[in-house]
Amino acid sequence: MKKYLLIIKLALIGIFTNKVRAFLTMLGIIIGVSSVIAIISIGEGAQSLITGSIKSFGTDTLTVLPGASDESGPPASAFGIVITTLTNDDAKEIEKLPHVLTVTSYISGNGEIVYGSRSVLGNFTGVTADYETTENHDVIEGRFFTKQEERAANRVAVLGSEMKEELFPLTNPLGQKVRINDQTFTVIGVLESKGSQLARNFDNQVIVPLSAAQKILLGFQHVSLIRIKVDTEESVEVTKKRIEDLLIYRHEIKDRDDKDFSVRAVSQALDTFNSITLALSFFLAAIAAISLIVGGIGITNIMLMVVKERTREIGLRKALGAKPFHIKNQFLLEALVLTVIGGILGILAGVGLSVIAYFVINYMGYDWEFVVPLYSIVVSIGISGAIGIIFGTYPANKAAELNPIVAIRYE
Amino acid sequence: MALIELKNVCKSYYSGSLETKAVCSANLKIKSGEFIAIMGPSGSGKSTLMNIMGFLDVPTRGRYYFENKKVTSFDEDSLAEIRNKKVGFVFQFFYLLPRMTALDNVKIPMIYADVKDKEQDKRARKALKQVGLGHRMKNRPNELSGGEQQRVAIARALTNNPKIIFADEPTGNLDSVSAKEIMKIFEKLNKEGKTIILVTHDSKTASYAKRKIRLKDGLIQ
Repeated sequence: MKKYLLIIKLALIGIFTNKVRAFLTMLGIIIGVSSVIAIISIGEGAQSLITGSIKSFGTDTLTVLPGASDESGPPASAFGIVITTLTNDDAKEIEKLPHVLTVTSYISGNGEIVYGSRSVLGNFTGVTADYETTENHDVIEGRFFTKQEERAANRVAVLGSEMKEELFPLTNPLGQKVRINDQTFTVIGVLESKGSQLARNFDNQVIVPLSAAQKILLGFQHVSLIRIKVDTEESVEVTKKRIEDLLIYRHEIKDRDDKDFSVRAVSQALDTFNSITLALSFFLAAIAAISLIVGGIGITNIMLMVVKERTREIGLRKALGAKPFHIKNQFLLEALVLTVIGGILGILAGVGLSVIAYFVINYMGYDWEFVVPLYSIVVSIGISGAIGIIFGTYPANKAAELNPIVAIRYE
Repeated sequence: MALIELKNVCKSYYSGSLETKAVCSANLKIKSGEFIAIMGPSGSGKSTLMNIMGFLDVPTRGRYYFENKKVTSFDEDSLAEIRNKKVGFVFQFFYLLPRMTALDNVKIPMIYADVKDKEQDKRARKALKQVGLGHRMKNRPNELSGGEQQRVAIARALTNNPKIIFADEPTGNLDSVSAKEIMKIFEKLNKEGKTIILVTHDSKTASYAKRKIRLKDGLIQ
């Protein structure tokens, strides 16, 4: 054991006397390992962020979108197609289906929202009264509007938390009048902050009754989204099928392929995102692997140089009684010290990258979690060690095979 | 009983089909406790002969018996072991490892003999004191004079308590005062019972030996 410590000590002295060379040699390993650490850290962070926000959408919910679209592709509206066949009457019929707990219809638009001298260009969303239950999104001040208010298209508004801050930074908004595209609404509640989720953010919205949005603000009858909450996750699939049947009947569609709507479950979105993350991880892992291989070749190269430089030392050690395996172990250990130090520096760099990612992503307003799983560190050390052994073996064998008298006379 | 016996030993080097005989038909018997100088001009094959006797090189022909065992059939690991335990080498250019202290340099042969740490330390210190370097143990080679470096090398050769010490031009790189000191050490070691085989072309150095073997063109004269 002690003799290995001595070899490690000498290897370290060698590394420190040749700092720049050693650093350049280790660079490939450092880059490779730091990417491994960063990939795993950022990957896990993204995974939990995306899964979290998809789950906050509710795994027990279904979404009906206007227009036919590929199950996991973008909705038809993304292509600028406006389909007006989906209405709140569809929602009311869906509500009658078994397993369905609540149904909420949505329509949104944008415009100028004004309170006193303050004005914001923002979004308003018209929803039906079950919104709080369907979205698990509660009012923290005041109240939400009732079914009666919604049916009567009352001019009442509930503010998202950010919108409240923009318009009423100091004053109590309850009972105040705001103007949305020159129509007056009375603020009756403020919603809790929920953060942005995927493509939506209700915090910077004004929520008004669906009928008010349709009749007063937009002037049309269709809805842009229906969200359905079912009793359990297990009934998602069967309910999806029933909604499709219902809407095909109601919209008088003859061929299922000519649907003018699509029904999506959150689990599909989860699958899609998981496969995207996986593909991305493989791509990044491939880059890391290439960097590690290049780093390994660098190790072979430098170790061949080291063996050449120290030919006389090898000859002397052999003359003094070192067996080939002693010499081989010595140079393998030196390669190992080099790669493991590279690995440790790589881990530090990788953690650094992850910390930077953490701050940048949080600054961008996402609720990003900083994770560097222990296994990624163990794996990195393992990979560095393996590279040291794999790419150090050839030079170490070269050293072990040297003829003592030829080596000792080497100039 | 002879410690070393060479029977008709030859060593040839080939470059292409051209054969160069470095040593030819060497017959030699060396008894335990002898002090021998192998002499001859450069290129006479004296170093080759020493390398063969010191297990650093293998003869192309002939047989080599060490303590009545036929060495010519040994594999590389056994040769390493026998170099480690039975012989010590002292070279013209000292060959100390520059990054290690004198003490650590002296310990190298014991590392390969699996000697315990404490024992390594004890023996290395003793050997350095034996060559008069008790006060320079923690110095690195570049902090030592040529004579001192050669004494470290001798201490290194002694630590595994070898039967024979091979010295290849040990004074070739030293001034006359240091050379004399080094030769006194060999003389003392010989008195203590070590067999010493000295390779030199210098008759002054050779004068310390009790028996001289002269080589010319690979042949023992």
